[in-house]
Amino acid sequence: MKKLNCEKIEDKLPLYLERELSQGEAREIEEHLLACAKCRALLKEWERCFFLLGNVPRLEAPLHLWQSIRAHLPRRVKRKVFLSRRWVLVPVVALLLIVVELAILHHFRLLFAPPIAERSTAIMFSPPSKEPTAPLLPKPMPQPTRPTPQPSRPKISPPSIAGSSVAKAQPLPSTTTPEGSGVEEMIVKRLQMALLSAQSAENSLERVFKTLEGEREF
Amino acid sequence: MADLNWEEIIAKAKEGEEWAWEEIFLNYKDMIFNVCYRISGRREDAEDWTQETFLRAFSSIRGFRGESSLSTWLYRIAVNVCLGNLRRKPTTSLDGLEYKLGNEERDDDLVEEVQRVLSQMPPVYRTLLILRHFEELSYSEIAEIMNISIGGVKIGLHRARKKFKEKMEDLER
Repeated sequence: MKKLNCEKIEDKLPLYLERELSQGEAREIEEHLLACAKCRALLKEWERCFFLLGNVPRLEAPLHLWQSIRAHLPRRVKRKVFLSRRWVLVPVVALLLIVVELAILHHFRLLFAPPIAERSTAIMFSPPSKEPTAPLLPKPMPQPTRPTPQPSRPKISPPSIAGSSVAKAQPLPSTTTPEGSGVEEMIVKRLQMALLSAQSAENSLERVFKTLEGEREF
Repeated sequence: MADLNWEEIIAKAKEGEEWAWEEIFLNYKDMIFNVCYRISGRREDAEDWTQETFLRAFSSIRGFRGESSLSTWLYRIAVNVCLGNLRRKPTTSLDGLEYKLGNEERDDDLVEEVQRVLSQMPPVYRTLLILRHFEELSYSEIAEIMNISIGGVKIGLHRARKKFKEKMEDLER
């Protein structure tokens, strides 16, 4: 009976030392210890174990540790600060979009409005007229009366020139066609410019979104 | 920082304020370093694991809900880091022991013996003994840190102590 008690008590001795037992259990052990020299010796062994385990000195963490940790922090810090202030980015992106839209609208408005440059080209291509108030639309009528450059071109046969009004009106296509092709070129150029600006705006927006996504993923 | 309001510091740390992180580090660096050092047995490893612990803590601090104390939460991360690294490098704690004394004058040989015995024990037993006897944590805190039941802690500690006692007795014979 005493042996069985010793076995039970041996297992409880560490808990007794830690004061993790109930009052009743602790009193039971104390009563047993008074009567059992073997268990008292065992208790001393456990006390030594506890002393050894608790007697290891505490160390101080090296000071440079924070520097090494900090070296890995900035990106995280920046990210969090960046994300916490991302409302700043919203108006920037919105402004960028507005600018792009305005640029595109401006280009298209120029396309459909009578451009000033065309007026000047029209003046340039139109014959010297006594009516300075009508430079916008070239008048085909005065052109047949325009002196032909025939004296400087003796090889051209007279019938081909004199016989056709088209030949006489050669300056007319030369005024309308180059003007038309100029407008077309201008339209193409403006479309290209609008396309380029839209592409560059799209690229910059893509970069902004990629940065945002990258930061979020991180 | 005479009046430390830890709730505020933790809130600021969650927002990514570096000063708050530094405050947490300064308050818990020795605690974490000692745990890492006792479990690893190498100063170099202890420094690396302490660093890893804090970096993990800072990256996941937004998930800290305050259900346990900050120290318990940090202990848990440190124990996970240590046990994870020991699983990857199981020889770390057995070879090339570098246990050294602190500034206090102690029985160098005895402390070295204790550390040697600890290093020969399974990592989980070692961790249980370190948390209970070096860090003087309660059973419930250890249970929370190691994610086991209080009964599991008691059984584990009982076995760990028995093993430690036997090994110490073998050494002293």
